[in-house]
Amino acid sequence: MSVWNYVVTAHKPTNVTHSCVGNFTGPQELNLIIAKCTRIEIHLLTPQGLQPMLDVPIYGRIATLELFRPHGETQDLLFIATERYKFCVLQWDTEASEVITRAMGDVSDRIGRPTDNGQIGIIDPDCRLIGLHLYDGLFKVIPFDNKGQLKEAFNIRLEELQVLDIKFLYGCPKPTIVVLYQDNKDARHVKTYEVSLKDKDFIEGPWAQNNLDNGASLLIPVPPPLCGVLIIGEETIVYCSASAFKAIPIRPSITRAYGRVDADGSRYLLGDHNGLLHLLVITHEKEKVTGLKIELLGETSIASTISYLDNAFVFIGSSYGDSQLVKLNLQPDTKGSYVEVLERYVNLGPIVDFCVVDLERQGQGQVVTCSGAYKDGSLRIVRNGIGINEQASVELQGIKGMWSLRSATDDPYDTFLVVSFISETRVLAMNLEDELEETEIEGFNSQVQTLFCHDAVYNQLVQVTSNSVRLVSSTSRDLKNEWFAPVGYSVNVATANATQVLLATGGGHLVYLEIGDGVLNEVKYAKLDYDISCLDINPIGENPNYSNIAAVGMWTDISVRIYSLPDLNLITKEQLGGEIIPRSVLMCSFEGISYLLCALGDGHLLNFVLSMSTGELTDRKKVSLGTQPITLRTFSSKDTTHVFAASDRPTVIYSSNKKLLYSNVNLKEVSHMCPFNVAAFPDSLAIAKEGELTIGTIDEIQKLHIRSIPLGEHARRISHQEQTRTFALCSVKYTQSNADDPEMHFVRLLDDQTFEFISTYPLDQFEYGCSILSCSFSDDSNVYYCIGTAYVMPEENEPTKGRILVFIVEDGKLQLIAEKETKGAVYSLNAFNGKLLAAINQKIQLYKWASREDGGSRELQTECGHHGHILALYVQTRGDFIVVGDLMKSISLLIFKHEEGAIEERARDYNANWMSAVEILDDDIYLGAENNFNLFTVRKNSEGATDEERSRLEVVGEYHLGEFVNRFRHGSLVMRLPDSDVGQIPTVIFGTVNGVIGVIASLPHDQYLFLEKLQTNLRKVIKGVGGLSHEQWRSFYNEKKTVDAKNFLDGDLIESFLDLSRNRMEEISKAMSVPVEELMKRVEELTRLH
Amino acid sequence: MFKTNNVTARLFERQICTPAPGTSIHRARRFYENVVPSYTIYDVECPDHSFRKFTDDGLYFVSFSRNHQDLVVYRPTWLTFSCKEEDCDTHDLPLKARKFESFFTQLYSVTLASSGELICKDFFLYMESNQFGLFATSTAQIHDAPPTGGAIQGVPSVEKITFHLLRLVDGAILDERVFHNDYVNLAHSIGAFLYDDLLAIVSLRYQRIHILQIRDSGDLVDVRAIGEFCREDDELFLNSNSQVLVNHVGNGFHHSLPQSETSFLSGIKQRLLSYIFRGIWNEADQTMRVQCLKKKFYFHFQDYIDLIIWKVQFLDRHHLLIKFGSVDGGVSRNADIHPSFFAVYNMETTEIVAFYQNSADELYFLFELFSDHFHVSSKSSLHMNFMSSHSNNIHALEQLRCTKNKATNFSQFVKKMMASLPCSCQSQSPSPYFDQSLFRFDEKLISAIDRHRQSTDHPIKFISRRQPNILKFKMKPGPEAGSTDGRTKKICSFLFHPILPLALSVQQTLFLQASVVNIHFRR
Repeated sequence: MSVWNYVVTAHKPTNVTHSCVGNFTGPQELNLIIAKCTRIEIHLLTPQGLQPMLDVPIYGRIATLELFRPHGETQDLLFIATERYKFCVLQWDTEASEVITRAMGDVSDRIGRPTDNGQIGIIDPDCRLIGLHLYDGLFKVIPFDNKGQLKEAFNIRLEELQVLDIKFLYGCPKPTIVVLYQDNKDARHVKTYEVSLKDKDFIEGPWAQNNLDNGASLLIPVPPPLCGVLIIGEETIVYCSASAFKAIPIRPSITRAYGRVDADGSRYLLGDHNGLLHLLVITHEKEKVTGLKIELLGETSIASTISYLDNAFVFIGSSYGDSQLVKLNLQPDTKGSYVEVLERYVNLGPIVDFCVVDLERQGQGQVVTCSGAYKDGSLRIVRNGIGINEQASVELQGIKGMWSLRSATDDPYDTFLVVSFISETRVLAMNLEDELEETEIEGFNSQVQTLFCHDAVYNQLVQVTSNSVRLVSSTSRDLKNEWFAPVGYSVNVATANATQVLLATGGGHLVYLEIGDGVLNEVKYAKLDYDISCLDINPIGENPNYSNIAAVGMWTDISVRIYSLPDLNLITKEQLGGEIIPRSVLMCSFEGISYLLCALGDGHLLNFVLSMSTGELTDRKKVSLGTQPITLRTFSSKDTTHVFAASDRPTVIYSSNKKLLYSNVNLKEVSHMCPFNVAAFPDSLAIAKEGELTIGTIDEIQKLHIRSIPLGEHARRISHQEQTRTFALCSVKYTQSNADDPEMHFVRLLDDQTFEFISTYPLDQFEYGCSILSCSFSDDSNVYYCIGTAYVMPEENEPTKGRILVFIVEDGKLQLIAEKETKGAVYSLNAFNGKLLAAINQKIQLYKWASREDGGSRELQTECGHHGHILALYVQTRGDFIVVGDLMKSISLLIFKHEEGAIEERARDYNANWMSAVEILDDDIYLGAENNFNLFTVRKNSEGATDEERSRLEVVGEYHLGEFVNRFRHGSLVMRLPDSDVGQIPTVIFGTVNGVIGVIASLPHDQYLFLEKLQTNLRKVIKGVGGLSHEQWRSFYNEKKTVDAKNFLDGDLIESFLDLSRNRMEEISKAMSVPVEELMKRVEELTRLH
Repeated sequence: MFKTNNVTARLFERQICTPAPGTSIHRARRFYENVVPSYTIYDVECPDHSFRKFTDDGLYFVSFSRNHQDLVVYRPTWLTFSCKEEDCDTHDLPLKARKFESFFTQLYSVTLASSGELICKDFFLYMESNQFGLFATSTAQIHDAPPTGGAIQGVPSVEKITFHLLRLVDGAILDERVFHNDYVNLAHSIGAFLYDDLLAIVSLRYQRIHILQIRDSGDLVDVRAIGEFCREDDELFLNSNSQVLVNHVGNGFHHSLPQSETSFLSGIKQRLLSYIFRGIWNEADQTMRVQCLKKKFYFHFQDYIDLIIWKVQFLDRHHLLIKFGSVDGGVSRNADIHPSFFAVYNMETTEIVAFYQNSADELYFLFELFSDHFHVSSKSSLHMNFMSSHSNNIHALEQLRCTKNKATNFSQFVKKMMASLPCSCQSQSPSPYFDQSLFRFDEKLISAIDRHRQSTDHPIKFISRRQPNILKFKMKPGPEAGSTDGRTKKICSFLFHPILPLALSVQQTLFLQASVVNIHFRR
């Protein structure tokens, strides 16, 4: 049963909805604050660019984001209001580097019609009050007292009922708003009101202006000394104040966003619906406005927000494409643009459609999304984990260890790759043809297994074998010195750096050597209690060639110890617990923090924060990376150190925001890895896999990898065809030049490797591609692409005509095989029992693939159908069952009856849900997403006592996701290993308008109950930003009802357990009566779902 | 919001654009411009019931049997049918579309009326949060009943009025409340008002406002009765005081009061009089005080004494809007001509908060600006807040202003407007087709208010608000061929589903012929 579901975000929202600039984190620090619908990000402006400081979820969809500064404050506060009528005021706590809540509250009213044109939240520039327009005819005021604290809110009747925008005017003795509104004849006007806090009412304001541009929709208040307001229309821009009125015509455009350039308000950046960026200048003589000027600067992503940062740097936030950091140049470039894009911030939104494919055929799912809109449309290939781009590989069996060596100490590149086997050691090197070739280092003993190798100072190399340590010149390759293990003892484990060697022999003997020019000096010897299992002296202190401490893992007592060097005094001993011995230890440093990593024989990894001064180990954490022993090795990529954990589930350990992160590498099993940075393949890694040695480069180190394929048009539907290795798209291209026919619709065929358009089928004028499917039919071995279309006539309420087109891919070309006219829009196509099931306006129709009378060719023939929907938009099938998501009638279940050859309704959910996507979780449970950002599940009630009960789909799960889901697909972003626990958990992926990729995992009941308890406890410990309640946020909420979430868990909250400090983890552990380690293990398993 | 009109283009826009903050519901409602009940099935074969209404959540359709004995509840299910091969492409509806049962599934039928009672077919209140329904049955009314036991002279009496609380899921009767020899105005649910779980029932005969609570368990619990007494312990207090008096008599004090129930003003009346008195007292300066009191208070004293409670509504959980008037006005059909007064009463403090005459401009202006405050919005759902009113919709406001400007006599106009206060509970349909920001229609022919109207032969047009010249759909309640006999006057009522593009029009002639039911829906 898939009743118990776990919802987690794999890719956070990237649609930038708001942004603002101010001194939030300090009086001298300039910050860019970005809202991405349900998250806020705080960035610091530095000479190097934007530096992220904080990225936190908000338990609400952000409606308003404003910075303000109450009297007497030296830095700004942040006001946030959410769509569900909550607000909070946040302040930066410099010491803890986090936000604290100054004030919070609820501004909902029971009475009132939610306003049509969107909630408005504004703050008086002189900080006397916050104004909110949430319900038609009401203006809510939250006054500030003289200490900057908020007082009780009250409502004022606002006469204007169709408000388009409200702003506070600058420089008014009393707080004054300017209201842009529409009258009952659709004419637009502005009007001003003074807010009288004493009388709790409006007083007619200083001026008004009637009959503006019919497209006027945006007000920009102008700060002192000019004051007044700019009214942005579609064909004119007007400056208006009590004393002045100036207007200029503009090229018709819809202004979506603005950003003020100067503090005195004389220049503004305007972004329009086509992504054009304009500069608007208010010309003035002293304080008197003389006119307006507008100039085209260039093109950006279609802006939803514009924030002018400093020194001509501008942040462009976008909902339809990547957000950008741009620089405005004084001189135009060759194309006449003043805009230079410095950086792009990936935005997957809106994800209109996607498919899950395994392009590399590695058993690893990838998501290919139709992202962006209008001119900023693109395909994005989203892949979890880190990929290795193979450069070369050779077959080699039984590799026991690998090390890369340089031919000189100051050589920037590696030359040799030492590969050790059970009874020999081979040396490989790049030849002149950049091929890997066997060579020799004469001073090395190649007849035995090598235990460790390293570059040493004075152009030397060190080789440790079971009976000796050899010091070899890297230039002459001759043996210079050799240290022999005492007779009767053989070296078991060894490690080295450029100046030191530490090795252990049987019986717990630890020997410390130092490397001189041509000499190896045995400096210290110690006898430990037990045998030594692993060693490390990786220098992470100040001296890059010398370590003051050594990490030692022990058999028998299962401990890891820190010894001082050179005197080998025990500093710290940490019992690891359990019976599994440490197999690899590594000291490393990430973002200035030193860690000791310790890998166990069963695939677990412990990490500690290591104090370099005292050798103390703190903040112990344990994660499970695999099931086999792990070997740890550091490597560098893009000048940052990471750790590679080779095992049955290879993982890269890295750090972000001072937190260790684990990202799986998309390889099946890796026994050994070493960095191999050669001139031909810089920054490469040598990887020993099952019977194979591979040289390859590694992807950028992050969890999700996103590749962009810009299309210059908007892809709306996508389907992949395994057999022809192609994608097919329904797309629309917007042309600004041709006003009569601004849209052209296509079916495009793409190669699934190169992502190039290889074939195009243009659709008719007004014909939209609405659905796409790759399928085959009964008695026909071919695979086809089926496209459902609609003739969308602008003057019609709904399409009355559409087509189903059947294409075959031949020689990389789309060949139209059959075409069937329909009586409406084909919203959905499904393969169904070797036939084609289409959703056409309000009905479901089944077509068979029948031979024509002429015998040869085939055509679609109507077989049967079912009427009874408002609009059947989303259809999924399973066996003979058909699940339909209706425009407004929630989910219904139909069945195809073979005997009668008819489709009949079996059951229905009678709630009024406006659907946006459906999916079948299992035979009985169906998942739906609806218009007000909720998820819900319904259950087929086959055991019901009465017909009436059986005909009802029972609602079993409800949850507020806060995201508009456009598509569900079965599948997974991660490699599913059948032996792991999470490998058995079925998952569904979803994509949303904000660019979220999420995963819904159906959990076993006991696991669900356990996690539900954990979630309840986490709610008590993790407080929402601004004091917003998690429970309220996740409650199902639409125009019909608000009810607590049930049978869905918030994976994002649960997984944030891993970010908690040890104390708080223990708090939860105590409340749950479950050990911290156990909790961490179970939560970490869940993180593997995405 | 939407830049295009075609539903397919709008669906694609919805996939791309995030609506302005807090307007996801509005955007969904815009789809009603595309999805309309434009198709009519005339004279549907249907059971001879008297159809009451759809519940506001659209889950139930309530009707009563013609003999007023049984409650029959249906689930609106929508017409579904299968087709085969070529049939799929034809545009005809199957024969079963003419059957009522193809659109509605009967859930159950419950006999409510017993021993001489009949179901009051105009009375039904729905508690959405628990899916409970409140129904009323009563015996016939006696017009010239003697005013026994403290009853008001001139108010008719009904031997037995029963309120039934039902769980609509299965028709289980959860609780009942019986009023004997009393009179509650049941027509259009005037005498009762439901606010969340609080129910006010006005006993006209005994001048009491019974406040009941509907518990989640389905119990009707008395909270308080306002009228003779205001506070819970008033009765106790008065009784103990009269005890003291009796004792005084025993101790040799002179006259003893006869134990007459009319000797005291009722508690609420006392509150009212003292509010009026103090209002005048505080308003006038000392020299004018006596004059004013004489003119405004004592002169009208008996009129104030004679006022009775007509109708009540909740403004919030503590405040009631009470309409007072003469006995004649309380029971007559046309109450507009009678002068009346409005009081806002706080049940907790037992104070009158405000008092207006029905011609008061001040009250009218409050009503004009804040009319939504006179309608109950649901605690947990927003969709009732979308009902158009002149304080939230510019077109409704424009219409009101138009009528106001046309009115020759402003005070007559105010009185006419005030006649609708207190609002009747659940008297408006939340159907989006009555949302005046979406559609324009002739309010003389059709409106959200649940009323019978004279049937016209003209089709009722619903015109797009945003494209002022586009007719979105028409509804024609008459037979398709037009009225056969122009002389028989017909009454027509419309029952709109609150969510779906589905409406019933019920045509009745004045004579007791079976009614004709048409179904309007989106095919």
